[in-house]
Amino acid sequence: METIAEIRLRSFFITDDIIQKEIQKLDKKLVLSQEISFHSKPNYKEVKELLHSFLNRTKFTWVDLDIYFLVKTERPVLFPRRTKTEVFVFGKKKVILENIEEIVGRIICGKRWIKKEVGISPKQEFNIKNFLIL
Amino acid sequence: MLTGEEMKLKKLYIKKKKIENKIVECEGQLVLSETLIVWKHPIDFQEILAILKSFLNRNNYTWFDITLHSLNPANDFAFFPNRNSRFRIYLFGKKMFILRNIEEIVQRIVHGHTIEMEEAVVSWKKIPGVEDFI
Repeated sequence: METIAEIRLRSFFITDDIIQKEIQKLDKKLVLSQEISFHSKPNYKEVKELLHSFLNRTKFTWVDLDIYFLVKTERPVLFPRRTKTEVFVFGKKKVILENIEEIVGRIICGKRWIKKEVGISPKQEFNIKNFLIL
Repeated sequence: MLTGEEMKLKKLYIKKKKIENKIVECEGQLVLSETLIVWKHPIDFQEILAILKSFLNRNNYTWFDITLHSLNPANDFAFFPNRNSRFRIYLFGKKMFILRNIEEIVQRIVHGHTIEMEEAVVSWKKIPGVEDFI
């Protein structure tokens, strides 16, 4: 037999679950998650061109990009061993396009950087919630 | 400027935060999380039975989240029991249910056997919480 407090708690859990599902549905409509890999060292021109054409092609309002650069190691190895530099970019498409030059520069640096509606980080730490609940 | 869907998402995040706060509040009223230290090693049935019974009877919570530690005798006065424990087991469950099945539960604890019952769990790993039962 459940107590009133338990029934109350259960209804909170159910409501929380319903809200979570609605959030996920809206998230999917708004945010495009995409991996972009470069088989070379970070190159300003190449990154800018690819990012520009990619953003112009997508209809999503927000993008969640996992950009990585594969770089061959200099040691002579049997297999073409590569190291990976990974940068996560989360932000509003419009803002990224407006500030593309600065943002590409930040992506190449790979350091954590946050602006009004864009976040760049070596870790996957930003999501739409960070920018909507400011 | 936020779009209609972004505003909707923002409202959902705020609603979710409020529900989560209510869950934390309600859980705080229902569940007591406590670490109980057993000073003897190896632990014995009678001692655990007495500790658990007196602890459950002294507290008015409906659910209990108990971590049982048995300390290394050399470190009786250690400041960090987690680092010096020889034995650590988790018990999560409804007070009434634990009291009704206390002998079986204590047997499991003493022998270090995990068990999932209707309204209680004994486990080596941290048990998720009241959500799994209600």
